[in-house]
Amino acid sequence: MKKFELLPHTADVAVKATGSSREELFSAAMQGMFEAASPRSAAEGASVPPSMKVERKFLISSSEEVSLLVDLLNEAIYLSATHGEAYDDIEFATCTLTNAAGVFKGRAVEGFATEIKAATYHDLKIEKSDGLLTATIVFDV
Amino acid sequence: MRYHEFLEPRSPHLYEIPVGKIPGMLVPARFYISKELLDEVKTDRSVEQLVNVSMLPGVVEQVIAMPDMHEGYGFPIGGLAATELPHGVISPGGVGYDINCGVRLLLSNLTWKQVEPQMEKLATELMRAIPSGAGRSGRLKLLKHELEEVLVDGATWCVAKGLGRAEDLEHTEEGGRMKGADPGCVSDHAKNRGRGQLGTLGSGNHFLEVERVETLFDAETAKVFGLFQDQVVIAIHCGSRGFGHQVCTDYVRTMLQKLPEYKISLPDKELACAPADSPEGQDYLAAMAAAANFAWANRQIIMHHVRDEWSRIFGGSETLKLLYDVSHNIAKREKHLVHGIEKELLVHRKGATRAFGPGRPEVPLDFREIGQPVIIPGTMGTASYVLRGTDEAMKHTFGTVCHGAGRRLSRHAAKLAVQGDQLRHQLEDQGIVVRCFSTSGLVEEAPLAYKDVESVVNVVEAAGLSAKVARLRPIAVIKGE
Repeated sequence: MKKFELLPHTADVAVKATGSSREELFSAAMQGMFEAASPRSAAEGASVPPSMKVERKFLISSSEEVSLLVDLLNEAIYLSATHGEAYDDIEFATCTLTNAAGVFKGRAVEGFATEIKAATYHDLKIEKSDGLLTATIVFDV
Repeated sequence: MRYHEFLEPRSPHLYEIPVGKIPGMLVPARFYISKELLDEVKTDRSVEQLVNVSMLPGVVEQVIAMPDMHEGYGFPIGGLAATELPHGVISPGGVGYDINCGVRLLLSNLTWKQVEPQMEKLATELMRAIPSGAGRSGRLKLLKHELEEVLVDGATWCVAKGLGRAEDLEHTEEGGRMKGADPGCVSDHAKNRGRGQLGTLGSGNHFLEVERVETLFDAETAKVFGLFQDQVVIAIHCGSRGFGHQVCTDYVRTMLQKLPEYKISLPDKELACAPADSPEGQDYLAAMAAAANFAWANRQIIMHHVRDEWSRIFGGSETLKLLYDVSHNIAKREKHLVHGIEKELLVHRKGATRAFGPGRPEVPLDFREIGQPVIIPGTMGTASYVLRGTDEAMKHTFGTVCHGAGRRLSRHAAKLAVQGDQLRHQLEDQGIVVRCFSTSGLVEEAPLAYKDVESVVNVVEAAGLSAKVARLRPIAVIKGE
């Protein structure tokens, strides 16, 4: 079941993510981001092996939880843009209020229908209600 | 708080929220906008955003929004603010993620009648020759040291490599090369993102458009600019690609971490800033200049490819001349009068275009008596404009006007309102040749997603900030997605 939804935003794209833990929330935010980016699968372009699975390590340190989320998403954007990949899961080794380490898991892609420039801090809050964490992240496209 | 309720009309096209109306404002917030366009922005937060900008340390005189304003990150799109050097702040949000997004206009010697028989072929060849869309690489493969040369030298690097002419640089803001760029202030992340993207259009609202001069409003200025009735011209709209996006991301992060040290507290994290003379401020300015140079090199290379294709179709002697290249996401060190005294300011233009009036040394010599050309791209299926800068803009808006039509519908709303094939047929029925990788990308940029560009331009003209020279109609649109 998807733990995110894409919301309308005047100039860009917004993803509302939910999770019962910080790891789940962060993963949902990333999954929503890549859904918004609409990756074109490698099979269409044939210049990379179809569905080639990839893993990319990350290590992030930020001043607070909201910044950690933004920094994690921006790291995924950077790796995706430079390697031509889309990620659909995160395996966390660590995820505290200010530090995250682990592996992005995904596949090689031919390109994206929408280019995501960056995750922004626009109106970003991580809120907890009834045991569920929620955040709405606006992406500049 | 309903910020628009604090707006006080000063004229039919100028509204103001004076200092004191909202706590924390250091200068008035002024909105060059008509009542009709103002009604459209009451549903977003752009008014609030400009009020927030008026609270930035070192801001002087006023902060301004242009008639194409809409909600952005930190600054509204269509926003303008100047801070006083040396200690006033520099804010990456006042430049934008797409550093030096801008537009250039090329002029041909041919009329629409002469070009029309080859229009489909031209559009197809331009689509083939100019990489566009997210994830597509450029034709130029740069080594590490070559990229660093581009970051320092911008469009001048391209001309030195035979990818343009010396006169192109005279007709580009900053001569296509912003001084003070330092690749050492740019992260490896940014260099890696940008390395393969030089000479690419990108996606979203970036495009290549073939247009014809439909109306001349000012025959004398048109002649000086080199415009004539029914002339075919070509607009290139794009920026610094992933390189610039990463520079902005990096420095918003850096400056947020340093806010407590500079005792700066902000209503919005996307207004992250640092004193211009701080190490972080200086590093960002050097990195921003590098990104600006990347963008000028980008547009220069794309223009080179466009000229090649044009020559192949219309003959080697048929040439395209650059009228001007304007940036609409940038911060510049400029001298302006503040309460009658000349001061050195850092002018942040975010979705706003420099429009210097007659006599300014920054305006190319051949236009200096008339004023700087200003290119305002509209939307597919509507119109674009060429304007000229005026003395009034120098007095009231730090020599600045709007940058385009300004978005009014989200991409999602545009997709719900417009069918892709229907839009394509509508454009084709208007005689516009369309080349686009995806219908979804076309729909997101449908004319109804944007404000009426004519209304936007009419405001800046009515306010005396610029004067209309020509209206251009699209005849071919080439875009990524």
